[in-house]
Amino acid sequence: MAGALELIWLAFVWATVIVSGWLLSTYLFSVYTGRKGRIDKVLGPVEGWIYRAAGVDPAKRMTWKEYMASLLTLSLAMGAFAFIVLIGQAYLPLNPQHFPNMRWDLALNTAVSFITNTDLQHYAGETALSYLSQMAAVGTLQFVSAAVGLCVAVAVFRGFSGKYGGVGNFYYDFVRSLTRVLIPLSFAAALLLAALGLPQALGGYITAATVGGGTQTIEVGPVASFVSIMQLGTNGGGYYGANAASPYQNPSPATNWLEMWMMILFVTAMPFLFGRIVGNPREGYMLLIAVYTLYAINVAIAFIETPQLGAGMETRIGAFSSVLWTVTATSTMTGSANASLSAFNPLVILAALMGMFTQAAPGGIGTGAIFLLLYVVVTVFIVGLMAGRTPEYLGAKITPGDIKNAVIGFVSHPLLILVPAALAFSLGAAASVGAGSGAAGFTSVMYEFASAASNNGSSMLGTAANTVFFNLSTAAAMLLGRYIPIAVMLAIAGSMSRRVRATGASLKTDNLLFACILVASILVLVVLTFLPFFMLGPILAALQGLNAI
Amino acid sequence: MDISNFLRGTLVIAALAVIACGLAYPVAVTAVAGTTFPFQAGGEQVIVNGTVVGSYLIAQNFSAPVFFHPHSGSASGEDPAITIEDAYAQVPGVSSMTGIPQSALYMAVNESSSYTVFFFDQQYVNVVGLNMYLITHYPSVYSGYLSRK
Repeated sequence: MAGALELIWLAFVWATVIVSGWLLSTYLFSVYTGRKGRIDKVLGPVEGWIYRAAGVDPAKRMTWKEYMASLLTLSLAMGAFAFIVLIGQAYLPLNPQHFPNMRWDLALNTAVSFITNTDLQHYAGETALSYLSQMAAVGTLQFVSAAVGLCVAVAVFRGFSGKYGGVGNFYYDFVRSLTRVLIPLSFAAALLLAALGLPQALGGYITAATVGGGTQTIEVGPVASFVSIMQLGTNGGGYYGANAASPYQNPSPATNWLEMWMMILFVTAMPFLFGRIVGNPREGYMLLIAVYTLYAINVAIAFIETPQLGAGMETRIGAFSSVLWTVTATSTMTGSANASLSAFNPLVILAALMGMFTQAAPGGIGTGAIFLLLYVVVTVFIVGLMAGRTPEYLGAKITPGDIKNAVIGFVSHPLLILVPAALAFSLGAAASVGAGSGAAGFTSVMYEFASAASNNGSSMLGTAANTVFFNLSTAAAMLLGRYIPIAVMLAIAGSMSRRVRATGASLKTDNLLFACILVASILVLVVLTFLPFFMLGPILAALQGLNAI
Repeated sequence: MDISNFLRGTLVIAALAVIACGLAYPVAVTAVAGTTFPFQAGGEQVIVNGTVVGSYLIAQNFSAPVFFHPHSGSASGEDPAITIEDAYAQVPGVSSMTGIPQSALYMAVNESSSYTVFFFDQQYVNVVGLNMYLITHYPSVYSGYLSRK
């Protein structure tokens, strides 16, 4: 159990992030609804030039299929670019350590991983990636995947609201996500992180002659700029293999709490933004309450056993911060780690899996919010059935087509975990990376695919999973786990945007009662679906009194 | 035709994203951070007599018994921090090897300690910082370790 000081501190952190998220949502609202401000004098001409150079009309209303096709094509093009840089980095500039080209399957895994906002890493950046690869390949993808997440959320919000004549224009949303939101915020945060001790240098590694008479390689690089978007964009891919456990990525309590705060900021702003876009802020508040309740449940599970500082944790970070970070990174789909997952008791791993199975507590940037709406659609439908009324949300009827789409989105998740995990064990791929058939081995392999399918990116296997099987199977899980839910939610939103709105809705969704029903229905869906996974993995390990790996 | 327009839009936006996010952004951060706080941006290097002897943020091997020792069992293997209890336990040994009074060492440990959550949770000490403090304050004891440079 956590003590009173820990609870007060947690309440303080959450309060500051909720207030900041609310403020950010007012800004995001003006960004995506095109409200003019002083910033338009500077950015308006720049964006105008970009649209003209690209030959796109930012005012054109896209159908959901056009929106989906545009975001998918752009994502694949960016992924292909990163793949080429990774397999050819030895021939490219900004490679002072002369790292060789990446093997094709690892490069494919890495490109897919970063374009899907997963950032699962089967490599250690400081010994595998040139400065150019870190910045232009995976660094760019961290921006692009976060921007696409924001776009998708806004498009779905517009569709649900029925007030924008469709889902919007992808290019308009994407360009503004970068120029007005992610680049300026990341820039400011990167400078703050650099001031707090994260290196930001391009001169190559430094060899130090240590006091003890040996030598030491000081691995500096463009770390602050990388970590900034990695955390703000719920990416989670580390500059270093040890991720945020590395002292250069996370040198002190100040950076630890700032970085943790950064990964909750955008996902906290999204429910507020939803309320503004649909024109009833209360709808957003209730979603936020539901999200934070689910997040708090995960935190509570992780702290059932009092955390102890032990092997696999960093002394300067401490046990409390390590456990809270791990739950937050998995609940937000960031997936960054400030301790080794092997350091934790099975209940912490169970809490991490809960976050990745739910995907909406609060979930990743943009995608967490659309998962939440997926659950809302299912919940409204179930409540409608129980009450014997036509299911409606925001005045629009929920159709059988919506339910079909929502179920596809929900059911794809366990399938994307179960099928490759079963293959890993039956083909011997699990054994080849040292994952045995006991509870610990099962947990680590299932965790790998849960992380891939939910676009989280944390891993119990780490660089050991750098095999052709795991590189390709997790790449497939990441792609399908990203784009199936996006497609079905855009489809629902596209169709809802044209529906007649009834006044005097049959089911009120902007009150606490609905928030409670939503939380209960999400918990029932997730726990029932994933109970076998929990039982065979962390629960079995907890009962055996063993650590999960 | 529409497809070629569509692909042109994708490729131009992709190229601009790489230039803005992958090159201009990190280079701009490097330029501003490097001029505004060069010490931090350079990785907080420890420089003695003009030589880089390590980083304040990265543990290094202080094998001689006149120093406080880090532990390499944790997640990154580079954590320069040890718990304050651990540092206290090393005080008598360091004192007997160096002749520095225990009270002075306890004071040095306390002064270089901080909390993992600002004001509560675990108290820890940065070993690199602590040893460099000793090297600076007790040059006669430690000169041998630096003259080799």
